[in-house]
Parts: sequence; structure tokens; C-alpha cells
Amino acid sequence: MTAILISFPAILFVFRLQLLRRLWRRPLKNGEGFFLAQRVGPDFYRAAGAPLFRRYHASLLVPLFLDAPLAAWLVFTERYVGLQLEQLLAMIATIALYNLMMVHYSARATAVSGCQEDRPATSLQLSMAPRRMRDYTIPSVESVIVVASLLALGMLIRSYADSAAPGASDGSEDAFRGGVVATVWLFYWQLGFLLLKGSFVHWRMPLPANRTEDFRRWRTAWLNHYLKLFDAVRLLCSAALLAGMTWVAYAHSWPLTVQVMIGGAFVLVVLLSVVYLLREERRLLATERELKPVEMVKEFPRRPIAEGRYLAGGLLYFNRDNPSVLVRSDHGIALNLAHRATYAGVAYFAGLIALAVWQAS
Amino acid sequence: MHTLKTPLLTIDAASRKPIYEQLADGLKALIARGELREGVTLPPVRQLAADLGVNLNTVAVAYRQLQDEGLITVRHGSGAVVSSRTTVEQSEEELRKPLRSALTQLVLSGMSMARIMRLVTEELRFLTKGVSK
Repeated sequence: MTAILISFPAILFVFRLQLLRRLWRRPLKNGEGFFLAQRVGPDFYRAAGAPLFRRYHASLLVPLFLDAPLAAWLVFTERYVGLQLEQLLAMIATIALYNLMMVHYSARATAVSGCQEDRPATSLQLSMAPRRMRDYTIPSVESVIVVASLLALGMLIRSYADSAAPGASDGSEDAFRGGVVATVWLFYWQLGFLLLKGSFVHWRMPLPANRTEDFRRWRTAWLNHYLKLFDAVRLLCSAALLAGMTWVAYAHSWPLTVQVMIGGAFVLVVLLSVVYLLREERRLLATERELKPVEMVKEFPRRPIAEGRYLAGGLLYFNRDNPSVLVRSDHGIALNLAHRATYAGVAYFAGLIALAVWQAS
Repeated sequence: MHTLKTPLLTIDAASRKPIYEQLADGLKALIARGELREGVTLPPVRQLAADLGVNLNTVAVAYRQLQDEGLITVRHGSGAVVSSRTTVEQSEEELRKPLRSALTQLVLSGMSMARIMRLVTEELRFLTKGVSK
């Protein structure tokens, strides 16, 4: 039993290590002439960029060390449910932090290298098409999610009726409780991916004055890839919800073979989704190889340093009139605390912690 | 959603012309050329300001100018919509002023009359290209 309880946090921890491994050499992905997507001078990694590269590596390790004492304490005191939740929250925080770090270190690399284009771009193009969620919403996907959610809720209500009926076993009450917890978590994941989808759709998208169509093609491919990913995860959450609630409501009356068949069908759906997403990722990589978006970075004018109030040594920023979540600062980039996406992100993460505390208690 | 036919507007950060003016002039040109037709919804102020990396007010000033000239209607909740291809009525003398100022610049730059005429004709052709008469 302990092995089963510990396997989920172990998988999450391995995922974090894998992410760390992938990001460790990421600055050199485009060759020594680049730090992440920023063009740098020829001796950057041996001269001005060396301390930055070291700091980058040290920062990558920070999220792993931050929660290590808590994780160790949870293991030694055998609080495995708490460990699962702690690792889940740590993984989400790590991903968010790494994403911020990538943008920050890109900006720092430009500032440190002082590498300027001979003729820096000054013009950009603006698309006059509004970016709206409804243009990226697939009605069939949303219908499946709604129908699956309603069916799952119906099953949950049925399992409540079973557990509240006179003479109901303790098992049916436990199953109902488990069903409630799973439903809340799966709805919360779906909400999270919907928020992510919204932020990707509304993400700033200036176009370069040169190679405009190439950039637009790459950006469209990139956006479509991530929107498909988010929709696929939302559909999977719905499938998991429906399968889980069907299990909670009916599994006690099924023979073992039916249970195995349904479990197997769900695993097959997950595997097919993974294959589909890997194929989509390969397609995106092919587009990247063809269009080389990293070479288009120089076609954009440099953003000016944002005016406003900076906090926490320039890492945070506060300006309601600035519509960007991440702004250019003296030190790289700063997170705009007055932006509604920041509010939504903070509220969502606080909700995750509240959910974890609720489940643990 | 972006398609190949989505109208684009160029902004030059190095230009001496303020960004709000470039935006307003660019939008006027797109409306005049018929690339932004009547009833088309413009991007929200927040979207353009984020793309440009400027404060909301910079874009809002440009939209207000177009609204004052009767080219767009700003509806609360549904954003800015192109309303007309003609600005609010102005006297011929008022309309002449910016033309005279632009022509003065061209004359002072030392261009010949024939070259100026060609330039004006080209620009006029470009502006009216794609506009159904």
C-alpha cells in the first residue's frame, strides 16, 4: 500500500528532475551564438555570460531545494497523502517559476552581452484582428465536456443516494466521499487549463515588419499546438471524471472482467492521447526547423523599460495602465502585479493550496 | 482569428511621430482603403497596447480621435467598431490645411513638381485601391 501511495509523488519528482535536465542546457539549444532565444556575442559563455550561466543553473536548482525539507519530513512521518499534495503543488510552482525564469534570463542575457544588431529593428506590425476566446473554441469539444460533466454529476448524485439509503455499507459512503474529492480536483484542473488557454489566446502578438508571414505561420502553429494540448487535457479530465463516477456508482455490481475492461479502455484513451500529442509536437518541431523562429527575434524592436513602481529589487512591478503581464525592467523582466492574469494566477494557486489542505484534513 | 487577409498596421518606434498619431493615421488609411470595412470590430485597446508595449492611454487616445472624427463607434462591452468611411463634415478649407502642409514639406525637400504629382497620384491610387465606389 505504501508503495502505491508513494508512487504518485515519486513520478512527480522524476518529472521535475526530467524538466531540470531538459532546461540545464537549454540556453545553448540554438548554439553558442544564442542564450535561450537571445543573440549574444561570440565569447559570451567564456566572458560576460559565464556568471549569468552559473546563476541560471543555481536558479534551476532552487525549486528542488525549497521543498526538500518539507518532502523529507512528510516521508519520515509517513504522511503520504500530504506528500502527494505537496509534490503536486511543488510541480505546478516549479513549472510556473521556470517559465518566468526563461523570460527573465533571456532579458538579462541581452543586457549583459550588450550585443546589438547592426541595424536594430524599429518597426513592428499590429494585427487588426481581435484575439477572442470564441474564435478558438471548438463547439464539439465543449459539448463533450459539458455532457460528460453532467453525466458524471448525475452518477455522483446516484452514489450519494446509495450511500444515504438505509442499510448502506461504509464502503458506499467512502466511495461517495472519494467521488466528491475526485470531482472537485478534476473540475479544478479543467478550470486551470481553461485559464491557461485564455492566457495563450490573449498573449501579446506583435508581428515583425520583415518576415511577417513566416512569423505569423510559426506563431499560429505554436498557438494551435498548445490549444490542442489544453483541449486534450480538458477532454481527458472529463473522460476521467465520467469513468471515475461510473466506477463509484456501479463498480460494486460489476464482475471483475467488466471492471478490468473499463479500466483498460480508460488507459487506452490516455495512451492514444499521448500518441496524438507527441505527433502534434513533432509537427510543431518540423515547422520550427523550417521557419527558425529564433532567427526572427532580431526582427523585433527592443521593448522600452517600463515606467512605473518596481518592487522586490525590480522583479515585481505595479502599474494598472500597463497591459503586459511581464514587462522589461532594468534587471530583466518584472511581473506586473496589477495585471488581471497575475490576479487569476495567484487566486488559482491559492485555491490549489486550499484544496490540498481541505483534502488532507 | 488571424488569416492571411487580416489587415496589418505598421508602427515605427523610431519615428518622430507619436505612436498614438501613427495608430490613428494607420487606422484611417486602412478604413480609407476599405481593408477595415464598416461594421468590423477593432481589437480592444488592451490588445493593441500589449502588442505595442505601451500604456493603455496611448491607444485610447488614438481610438478617441477616430471616434471624434466619426470613423469608429466605441460601444461599452463590444469594443470599437468601424462605423463609416467618411469623417464628420469639415469645410474644404479645413481639409486643405493638412494637404498644404504635406505639400509644403515635399516642395521644401527639393522635389520637382512632376515628382510630387506622381507621388500624390500613387498615394491616392494606393488609398482608393480595393474601395468599392
